[in-house]
Amino acid sequence: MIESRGRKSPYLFLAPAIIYLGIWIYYPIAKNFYLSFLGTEGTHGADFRFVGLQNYHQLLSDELFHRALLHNLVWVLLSILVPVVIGLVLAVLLVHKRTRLFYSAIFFLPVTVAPIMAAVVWGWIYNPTFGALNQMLTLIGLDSLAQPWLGDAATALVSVNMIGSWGYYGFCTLIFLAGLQNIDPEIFEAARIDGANALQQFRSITLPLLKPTLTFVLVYTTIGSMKFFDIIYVATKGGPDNSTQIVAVYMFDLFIRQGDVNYAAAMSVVLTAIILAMSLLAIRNMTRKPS
Amino acid sequence: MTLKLFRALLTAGVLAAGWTSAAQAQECKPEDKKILTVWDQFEYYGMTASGPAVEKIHEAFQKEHPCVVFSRSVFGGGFPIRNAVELALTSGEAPDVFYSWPSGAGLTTYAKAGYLADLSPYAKKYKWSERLPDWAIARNTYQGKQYAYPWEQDLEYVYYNKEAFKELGIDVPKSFDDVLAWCDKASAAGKIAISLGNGDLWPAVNMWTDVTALLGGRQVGLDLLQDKQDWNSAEPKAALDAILKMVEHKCFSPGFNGTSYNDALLQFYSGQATAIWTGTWVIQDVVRNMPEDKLDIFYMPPFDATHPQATHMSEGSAWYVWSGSKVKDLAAEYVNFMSDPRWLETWIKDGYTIPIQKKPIDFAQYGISGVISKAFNTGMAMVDRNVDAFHTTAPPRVTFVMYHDIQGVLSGDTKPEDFLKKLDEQMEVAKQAGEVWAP
Repeated sequence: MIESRGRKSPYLFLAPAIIYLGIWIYYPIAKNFYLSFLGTEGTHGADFRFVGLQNYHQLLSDELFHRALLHNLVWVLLSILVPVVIGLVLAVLLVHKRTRLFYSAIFFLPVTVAPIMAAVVWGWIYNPTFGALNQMLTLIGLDSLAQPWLGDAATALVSVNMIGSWGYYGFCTLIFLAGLQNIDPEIFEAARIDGANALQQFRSITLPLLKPTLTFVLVYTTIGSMKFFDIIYVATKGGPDNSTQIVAVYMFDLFIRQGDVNYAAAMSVVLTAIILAMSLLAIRNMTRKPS
Repeated sequence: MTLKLFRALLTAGVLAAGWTSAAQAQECKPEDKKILTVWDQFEYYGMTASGPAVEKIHEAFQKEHPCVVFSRSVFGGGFPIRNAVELALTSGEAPDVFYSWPSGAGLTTYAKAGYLADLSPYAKKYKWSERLPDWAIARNTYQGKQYAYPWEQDLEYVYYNKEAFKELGIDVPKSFDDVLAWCDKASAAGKIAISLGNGDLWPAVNMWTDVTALLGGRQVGLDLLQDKQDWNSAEPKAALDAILKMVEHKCFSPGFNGTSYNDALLQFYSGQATAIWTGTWVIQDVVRNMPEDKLDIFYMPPFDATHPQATHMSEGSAWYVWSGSKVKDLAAEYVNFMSDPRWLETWIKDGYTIPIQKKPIDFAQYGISGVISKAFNTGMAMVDRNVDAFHTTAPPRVTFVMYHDIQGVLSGDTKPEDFLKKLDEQMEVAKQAGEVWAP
């Protein structure tokens, strides 16, 4: 009797989470997958019929989808290059400082700002006529650099990404700090006695021992970047001229505005597959035992 | 003594209130109770700031229908209401009445999918054709059946700062050359001639519609929207060329493709811009933010010698009844009540909204800003020449291309012909899918 209860109890404890995930995650994913093989006559229809891979086939010739996917990849790269690198550098600089708690709280502040609010405020900062950024550039004599940051297709994607980076680097700093604090200081001390300089210590001690943390941050950043939506939707709505169009924003428009439910579903299946593949690759790398 | 009197009055008041509720409760048997779910956009600020008017009218409706229980949700004007309605309709659980947009092809896709109740019998019963002009009914009709009751009257024109015009020595333009000269003067003085916030995607499409009306007229607009004329044709192309010429003359806000509509309004209110080319949907916001002695409006002048002055027009939003509603008659009665002419004054004075009316409105009797009456009287005098708003009438997939690709045209990255060809391609797809506006 006791043994039987013992066998069941883990499942009982897991049940709430499984039910929750089932309703809000797995069922919608399965339904979405099912919808991606259906089609209607026109949009908004409820007369769904099986169309096989037609929606997926359409993705192959959709130039805007390809462009959006490329923007997603650029977004991933920028999100790794800017906030992750800044976070790592700040964490390394702070780890042995007494004031690290104070500074990490300061750096973490932007994370607490709602992304939509950040997008609105940064929209004002970037504004070409009354924005603080151009005014500051003019003030320090760099007025030739002043430009319509969000209004020019050449600068819009990077400019919007900077809003996301501003709201994310503090999170990276905090995670890296936690990772760095787990490294035994005696290792650094031994390296210093052996004559290793700061760069050598970073390359040969910090980076290898921080690998699990680094991998976690990279996976988390990649997944977050691939499904990014809010800041772009508020700041540029995918414009100008589709230069900040990413898959989630395009999908939202197809589904909500154009009523093309099945095509949007196929697009989201592909996006999910890409995110899943990237995550699996990274997790495998993370859990691989060192040789 | 005073305290005693107060207590007595209070007791009498409580008893009277209790009696009224009891009387209402007596009138309403449980089986008579009906729930009416309404989703609208009538807030207290912003684009559709008619909240006070709607609450007044609701109160009156409630008095006449004590057994009706309202379940009302207010969504922000513009995209929030549309997104919510779209999700509700596709999920199969929509409100009985919703106040949303767009009409034309947008309404076609909803009606074709069977989401909307046919309001034609109610239109006949309540004689809506006596209240609504034909053009407004047509925008809300699909294959001969009326599916919505169009409400706010939308028109687009230029709000300008009289003081700034005087300072720069600019007169209200009478030709396209005058418009360009105004831009040159403003630009030379370090001012923005016309503030434009095309980061919100639709403002430039509206502008393009206006210029197409100025260079083509109403029939061209109808032919384009009903797929009887290619987008890649003379008038829409000439309209784009004219706007590009204005870009060349630095008419608009720098970085307009990345500036939001609200920020463009701020540029005008703050005096950075001499004017803003927008419409009736922000009239109360503009009137509130600009002193009356500084503010005036004008419609863009004829852009060539062969076409008269015109603009674009549409309804801001319309009332729809969901086809799955279990209280369709009540829902239609509610729509009829809300749009009853007896509430005209309430809508205009308390709701800051000018409803679409067949008969011209005598604004003088309502004592409202002269700018408001000028805007509506002038715009409605051109009703035979005005074009239906492109972005609220074209099929949604065509609108998507309009929104995004016109940004490329205005920035010089996309050739106008390529943009127009792309619209034709999307129009063809829409046609195959039966999404083109077909009143």
